[in-house]
Amino acid sequence: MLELVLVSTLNGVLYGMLLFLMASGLTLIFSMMGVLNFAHASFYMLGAFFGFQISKYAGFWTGLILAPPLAGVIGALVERYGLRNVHKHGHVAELLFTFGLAFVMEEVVQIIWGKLPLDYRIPAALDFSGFTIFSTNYPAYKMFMLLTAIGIFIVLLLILTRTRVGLIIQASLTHPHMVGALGHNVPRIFMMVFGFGCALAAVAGVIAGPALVTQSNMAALLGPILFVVVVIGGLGSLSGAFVASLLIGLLQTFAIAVNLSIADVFGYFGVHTNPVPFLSDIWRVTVAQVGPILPYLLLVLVLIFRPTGLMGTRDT
Amino acid sequence: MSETVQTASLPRSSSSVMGFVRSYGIWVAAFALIFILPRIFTSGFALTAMSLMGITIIFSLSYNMLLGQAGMLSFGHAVYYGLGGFLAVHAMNAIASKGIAVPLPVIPLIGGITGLIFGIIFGSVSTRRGGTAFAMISLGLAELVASCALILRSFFGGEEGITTNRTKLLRLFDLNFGPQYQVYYLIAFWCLICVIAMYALTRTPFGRMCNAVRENFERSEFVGYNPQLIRFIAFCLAGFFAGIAGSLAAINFEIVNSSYVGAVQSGQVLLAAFIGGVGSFIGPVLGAVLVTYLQLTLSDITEVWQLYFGLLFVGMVMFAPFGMAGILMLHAPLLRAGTLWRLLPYYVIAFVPTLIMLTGFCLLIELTVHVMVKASDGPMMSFLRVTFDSHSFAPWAVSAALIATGYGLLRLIWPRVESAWNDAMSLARQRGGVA
Amino acid sequence: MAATGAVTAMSVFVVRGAAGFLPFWLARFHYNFSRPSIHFIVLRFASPVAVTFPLLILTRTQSLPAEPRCETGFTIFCNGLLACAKPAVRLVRDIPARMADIGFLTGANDCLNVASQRTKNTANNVEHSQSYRLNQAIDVSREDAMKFGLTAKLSAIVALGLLAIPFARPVSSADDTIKIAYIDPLSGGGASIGEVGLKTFQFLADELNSKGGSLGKKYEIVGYDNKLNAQETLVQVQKAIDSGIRIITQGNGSAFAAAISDFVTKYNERNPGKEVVYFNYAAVDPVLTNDKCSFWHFRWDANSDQKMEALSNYMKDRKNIKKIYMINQDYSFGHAVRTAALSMIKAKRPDIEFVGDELHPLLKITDFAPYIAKIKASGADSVITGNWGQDFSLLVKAAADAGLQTDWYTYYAGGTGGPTAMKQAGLSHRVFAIGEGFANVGHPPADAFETAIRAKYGFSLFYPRAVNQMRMLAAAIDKAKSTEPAKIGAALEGMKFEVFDGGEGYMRADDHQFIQPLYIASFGERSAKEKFDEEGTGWGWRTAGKIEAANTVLPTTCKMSRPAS
Repeated sequence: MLELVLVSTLNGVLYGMLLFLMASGLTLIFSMMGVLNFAHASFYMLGAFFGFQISKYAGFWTGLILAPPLAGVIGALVERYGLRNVHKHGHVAELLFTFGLAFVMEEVVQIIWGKLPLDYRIPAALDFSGFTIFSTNYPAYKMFMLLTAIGIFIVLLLILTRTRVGLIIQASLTHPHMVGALGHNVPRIFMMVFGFGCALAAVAGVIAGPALVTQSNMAALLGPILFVVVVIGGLGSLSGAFVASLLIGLLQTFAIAVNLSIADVFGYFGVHTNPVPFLSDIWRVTVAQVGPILPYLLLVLVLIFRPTGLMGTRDT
Repeated sequence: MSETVQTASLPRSSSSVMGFVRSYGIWVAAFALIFILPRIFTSGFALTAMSLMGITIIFSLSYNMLLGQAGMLSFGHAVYYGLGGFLAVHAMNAIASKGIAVPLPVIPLIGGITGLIFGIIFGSVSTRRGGTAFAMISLGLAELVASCALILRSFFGGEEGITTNRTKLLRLFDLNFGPQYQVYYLIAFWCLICVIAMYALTRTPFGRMCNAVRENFERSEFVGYNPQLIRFIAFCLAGFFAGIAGSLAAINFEIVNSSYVGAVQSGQVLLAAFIGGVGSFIGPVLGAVLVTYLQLTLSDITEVWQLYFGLLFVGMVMFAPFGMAGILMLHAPLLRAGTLWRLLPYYVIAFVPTLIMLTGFCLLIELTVHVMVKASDGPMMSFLRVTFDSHSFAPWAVSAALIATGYGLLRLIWPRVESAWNDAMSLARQRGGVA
Repeated sequence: MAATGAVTAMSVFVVRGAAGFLPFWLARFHYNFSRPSIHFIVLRFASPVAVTFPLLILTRTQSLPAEPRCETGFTIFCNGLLACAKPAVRLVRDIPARMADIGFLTGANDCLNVASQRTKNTANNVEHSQSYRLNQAIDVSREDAMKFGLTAKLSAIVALGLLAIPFARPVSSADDTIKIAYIDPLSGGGASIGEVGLKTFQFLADELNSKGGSLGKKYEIVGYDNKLNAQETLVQVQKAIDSGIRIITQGNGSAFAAAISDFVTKYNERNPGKEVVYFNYAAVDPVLTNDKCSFWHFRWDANSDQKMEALSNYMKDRKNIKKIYMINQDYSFGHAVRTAALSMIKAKRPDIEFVGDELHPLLKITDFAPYIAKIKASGADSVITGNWGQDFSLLVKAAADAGLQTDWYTYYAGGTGGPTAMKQAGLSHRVFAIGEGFANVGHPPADAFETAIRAKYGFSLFYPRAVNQMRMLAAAIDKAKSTEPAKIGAALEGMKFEVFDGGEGYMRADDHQFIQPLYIASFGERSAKEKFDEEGTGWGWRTAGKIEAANTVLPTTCKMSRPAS
């Protein structure tokens, strides 16, 4: 039992950190431009595919270093030539543009790499068992993922709060016109932030690719959860995104571990018959089966009762 | 304008006839068209396609009530469509098994009421916010309902869905709705009613207030209406019509499953409404017809039809966010002033390089697909009835040349088109425009 | 016929000409001709068309030769349009002068003003569309708005007409080939599996054609993409029927199989004489040959209950199985697997303990680590799973990561991606799968076929049952001496046949389920006897056991209504 709890906690934290890697980029972009980038998960997928392709010729570590900047450059180009043109048509048009872009990117990836899962391997240097909890091996690669994600968070926080570039970016978040008046090239800052956000998602893709399946439907699987994380955490708040991604990761992992259903709970109290035959499905469904939809339930609840999200600073 | 008509000494009785034609001519023409179409296109597939178009027209128009009229972008409109379909199927099964005397044409009303009820339930939650938050709530709700569809098996039927038989209901006028053309007429009839109803809705003060709420939420409150209530009512009504569309789809296919409430279906209606044009009433109709048609036939022609769809959508968002209807509307003043014919020759001249460029792009995409995806099919492929070797250099060079030529010519011609447009516009203004 | 045609053509000409004069005649009586308006233009377009149409349709539809009528419709429509073209051009030329005289456009001034502003200020424009502005103009009268909308609606009607082009498709006469519609995903996510199936069937058709086909006709496989969507599947079935195809085959997805079976049954009932038959080569939901059976549905894959019967017959003799954990996908197939496993294994080996019974969402889980943790915690030594595709690959991957040491009893370990995952996980000969045939069973004709198909396409034969299906179809057509689906169906019922991997199978008449011997094989390192490897991994299948056909038979609840033959 304890083993299950510990392993689930580790898995949950790991999944949460992965989500945070992606959500951080998304939050930055949203804070900057007010556009929720639907194609963010597609850049995650691009990172994984680029990492795979580069690692075939030059090894995993080269892929880790080269793939994110590549994806970031593509992101910057998308912003410069795509989003900027669409910006004048309003927020709805921007949202729809990124929506269409996500679609197109998935198709292009399918054309180039095919629809089957790719054989993206964990690098030999990390392919051993990290430590053993009771009788379960916990792979070292997952520890590496965890440490990378935490490292990136710390670096991001330091950049944003302690460096000059970070200060300019923070200022552009709230007072873009003033920053422009002070002589900074605000559109170029936007472009760089967009590219940087996409590069962050690509990093998540490169390190998650070997652990999870590298396939062209990666974006579609992780995309909706990403939005849930960002909205629950609060649109525009980085620490909110951190808390929300951990919350969602732990929630989903623990829900799977629990096999209770309403019938079981009532059974403990001696009630064995289902009083409402029409809703027998809800009666018998276990928490584990419901696990994957819990994030959406949480999203709806948060949006009803606390519309700005858990730690949101900005009302949309 | 009617004043000047009176002064020209028209006989009184005929002006009322002309008034009738002026006001309702278009609906009569549509009515006639709907009746004639199955006589023209009689193959089973054409009938199915037209039935699908009818359903998608209602669905897109109901979506436009949200997006175009009231300014609420929703990613989960298929929830009401699907739930309407599910309840219609359950109702049909219950009616058939218990022998209740309800004929099939009434079933869409049941679907509509379901959509309305769920619109009220979910709308009370969603419509408190607008803009991006509303879009996210709708997305979350849609994912929630779609996932529930696989958990609540007795209602949603699990992966297989629920089947029904539309011929087992009460027969009126000896219509058992077995043959497809009878189903087509049922759908066409409901489509006409819904289109008229939704158009009428846009002409009411409520419809106008929806537009006002879309433009400026805060200011519209000063007029005296509660904008949140307006949004809520618009949401419920959109759910009503979406439910009607869903139940018609259920009748047409005689099966409903969880894909009716899924994100893909929501995406399709968004695509249809947007491509057609959210700025006008006729836009979603055009978009629905075009998108349905493309969906049915494009997959036979090319394997990467989804890519073409995506590119079309992105292209529309970037270059023509008003959609096809918006483009047509841009030319309406010219048509009225009679200067459109000056512009048309330039359009025809510009059409040729555009076609060349597009052909080049399609050739490039098909070549890439063939080389990358269908490598096992061998090097020979065919495009537009011409067979060639995809591994040789020639077709790639041809496609590059086509794109370059087309783009170059277009760049040369475009300033002429622009100046022609400006001339036509200023002429139109001179002839009767600016007061 | 020719005379009728000539008379019709003449009458068209006369009527069209007469119809062209109609609006002028109307104009004389109704309003001042010097004031044309948009409504007038509508009348000009509509009246010749409206008058010509009914007449032509009435005269044409009576003669009813078996030629496509849609082309006629298109011709009529174009004629109608052309009839209006000349007067319309003249009218459009006249309009400007007339309108200027009368100040026609007074009401629409605001609209034009705003429209011209917009062409200059596109960069500053943040509105979504121009028509909003136009309708918001301060006093746009109802009439003006109506006229404005009319133009767009007019263009809509014309556009709709142009869409007629692809509908004008002639019905092909398929008398010289036997066409089989293959309806499975050919794009998107399931395309890798769908394309493999299509190529397999094409290979089989080529094989039959090289022997001369059946009744002198060649076989042709026509692929239709169902995009993994039930409605789309039905649309494609309709398309296939429209093209004259009478035999439909499908297999990927029991949900779509149920939809097709239902549709085909209803279609045959409503269209006697035009029946179609449906061959199911891979959808294993037992309900298709039990409660929802149909005379027009034939299944060549052993259903999931039969496979579990065979599997449990194999497992009951393995003494090392003591604790079983079940993990399945949460949909009809997964439910069927767990229900059958629970009942059959408990009946044969009451001493086996079921320590877990898990259902997870279909194709949504990316990390199975929590589930593996639960399996470990339960202490199971064997796992039964019906998972396929990515659910199987990820499950095996997670098991390897956590170092789980159990035997795996599966249905679809051989599916695309499975062998690669198993090799990566290093699970040599610990994963067992059940099927109607595997690559290394050792039957020489099967080996020859396997070599041939790998040489041509590069993938291994996933569907030995497709081979059985096509060969039995040819045999049934020869036996019935006809390609009518009803006769093919009658010939197939009860037919005995030598199956692909040797041995005999038969098509049970009660429920149209093919009964055949089944094999259990384990996947791992090859010995000298095993010639074929999978997916380039170097590992291959080794037969662990064979279950005779008689030991896979299960009772059925099917009560199908047969056509009166």
